[in-house]
Amino acid sequence: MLLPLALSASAVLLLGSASIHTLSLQGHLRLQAAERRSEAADWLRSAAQAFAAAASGEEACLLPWPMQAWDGGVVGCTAADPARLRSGVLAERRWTLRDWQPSGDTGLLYLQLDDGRRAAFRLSLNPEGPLVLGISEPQLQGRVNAEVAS
Amino acid sequence: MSLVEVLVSSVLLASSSSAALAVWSQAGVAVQRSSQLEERANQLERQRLATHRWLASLDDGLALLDPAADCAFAAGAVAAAADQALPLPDGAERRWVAAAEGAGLWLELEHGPARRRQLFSAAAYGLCQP
Repeated sequence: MLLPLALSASAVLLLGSASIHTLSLQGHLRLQAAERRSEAADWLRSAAQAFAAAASGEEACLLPWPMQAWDGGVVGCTAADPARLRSGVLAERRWTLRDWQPSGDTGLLYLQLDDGRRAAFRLSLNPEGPLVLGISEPQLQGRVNAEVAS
Repeated sequence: MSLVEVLVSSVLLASSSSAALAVWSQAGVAVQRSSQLEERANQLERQRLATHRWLASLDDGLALLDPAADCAFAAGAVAAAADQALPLPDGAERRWVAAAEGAGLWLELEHGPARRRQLFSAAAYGLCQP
């Protein structure tokens, strides 16, 4: 009578411990995933800041035009080098411009990192001149696989 | 009920209780560490966001530019102004490091094992007139 009772109590104790252990492990994994998301978002925000830096000076005159128009040569913007806006390197990580669509005093910026992570940003533009006034928080768009990314 | 049964049951209960106690205690420490790390990560996220909003709302952002450079933040000026405007939580550290590519300043935030790093450029806040 006593032994079956002891066996049942032991089983309950060990099963309970296993559940608690699983819960704490899940919490740890959730935290790690949140850290990875924050890190990726920081890299993408940094890439958007680098784009804004590249789009000042000679290249600023390209801002009022969508990316597809840059190759044909933008009137009054002959000194600009569109390649400076199409990609760049930040602390050995490459970012690539996927698309740029300006519209009045805003512009939609689509960037991708070398690991395939992508995000969209809304840029505030000065309607009186080609100047970035602000960058929104990123809208993370997941990840394309490395082959497509390269 | 024999003596052997009592002995075996006692040993069984004692060992399973001891093992369960060890796992519970370990899980308790892990949960405490996780919640501390999560709280610190949240503090750094609030600090990062506050930095972005502070730069976006500066009245005299030009005072933070390096006069010797072509529209770039001066790390010293930004660090001093940020220390005044954005107090850090106890134990957290903040560094401003010039990016090797010249695109801006890296903001590095650290609070124990929690870390954040983001580039900030003057051009992203309307401070670089073409």
